[in-house]
Amino acid sequence: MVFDPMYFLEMIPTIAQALNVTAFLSIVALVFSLLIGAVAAVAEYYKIAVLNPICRVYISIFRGTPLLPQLFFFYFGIAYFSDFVREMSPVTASAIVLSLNMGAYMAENIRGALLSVDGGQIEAAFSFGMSRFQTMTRIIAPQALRVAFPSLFNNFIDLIKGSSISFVVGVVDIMGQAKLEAAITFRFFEVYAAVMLIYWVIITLLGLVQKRIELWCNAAY
Amino acid sequence: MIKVEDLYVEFGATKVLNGVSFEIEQGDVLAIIGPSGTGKSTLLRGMNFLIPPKKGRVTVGDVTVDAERASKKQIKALREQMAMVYQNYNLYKNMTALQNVMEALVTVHHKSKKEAEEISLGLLEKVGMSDRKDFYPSRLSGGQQQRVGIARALAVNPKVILFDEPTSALDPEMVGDILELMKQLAESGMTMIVVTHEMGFAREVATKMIFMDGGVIREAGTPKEFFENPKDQRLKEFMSKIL
Repeated sequence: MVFDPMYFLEMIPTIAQALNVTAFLSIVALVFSLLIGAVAAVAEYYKIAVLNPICRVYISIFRGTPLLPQLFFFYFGIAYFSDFVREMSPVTASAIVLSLNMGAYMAENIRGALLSVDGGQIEAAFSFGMSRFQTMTRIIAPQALRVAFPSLFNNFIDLIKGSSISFVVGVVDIMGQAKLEAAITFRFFEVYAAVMLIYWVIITLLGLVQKRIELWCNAAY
Repeated sequence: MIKVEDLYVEFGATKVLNGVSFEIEQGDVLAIIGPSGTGKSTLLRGMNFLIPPKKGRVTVGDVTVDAERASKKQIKALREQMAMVYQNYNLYKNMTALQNVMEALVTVHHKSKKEAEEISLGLLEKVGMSDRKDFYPSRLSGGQQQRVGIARALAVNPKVILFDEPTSALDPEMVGDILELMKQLAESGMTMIVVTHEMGFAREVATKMIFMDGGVIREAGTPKEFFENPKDQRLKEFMSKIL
């Protein structure tokens, strides 16, 4: 068996057909992991009763275990007890697990960025009678965002790559599509080279975007 | 008009304030002096509950808050009566000078943006910062930042302004400017509580003085009494070192 360049080239658009699934998973998980991360980070920053300990346990579990067992546990393990999970589509289940997984990492990055904002300003805001919510949204968060941006963008890139694992529960994203093609032709080399190339191009392009935005972030106030 | 009664502040096992009481009237300028680490800054922060006191009561105007029964609402009402100017200016770094001054007017005092802007522009003019109203704090010198800090404090029309060593972080040549500005405020009738090491300022501008040591007030009196006839032994030592 020799490398078949024609087949390789043919595979690129074939696999790319499933890009919409990869994009859907990545973007939905990005939105929800940002939300989860922000809530968990603020809960710890303000030491919010009840919510903070819950978030700490959540972060510890999701950062302390690999993504694959998390996905299996949720999709197969919890499905054993829950009709809701059993009837869930693989894409939804993957999006939920990816969100929870990345939310834990984002929480830590956002928390670090919040702590980097100089405390004197926060004291000043409180002394004028501003609420914790106002202080967070108007003073702390805008400054923390610029600090957190590079690491959150890296989290997003990890999310795109991590979404490839969802093929194990039957999601036909670009990885899933590649797997299907390979199962027909057994041309593993061409198929997996093609899928890697697609990931690589996407992430390199995003890297260029990231550079641009980081320039803006560094041009701080 | 402003009354602090029997204020206690503790950080864990460390007792920082051990029952501080004083009272000042409208238009008074109270200078708080004393060695470092004796609770002067903590006293200011206890007064507006940035550091919640263990015990005691704070009255500003018609708002009285008892530390042992302080609700969020009461603390907010108290804070709305006061403003604070900091040693490190503590301007909001993501906002321009003008936005800094407007912020509490809009978010706490519910003024319209337009009205807040008018008030703020007037105050920036008053402190001599109109030409830099659109500068972010990172592009202002220490003295300029402190002018904005003072305008920000004035904006909320407070019953009293708390100054926490407002000139200690400034370049020597800027100190005089800020003290002059504060003197003008005092002359215009603003009630002020000033933690300071600037004895010249205290002597000239203060109407009352407090000497703190070890978390208590060792002596209270007029500048005349403090500078001409201090009674407390620690105050005598302190004055002889500093003058």
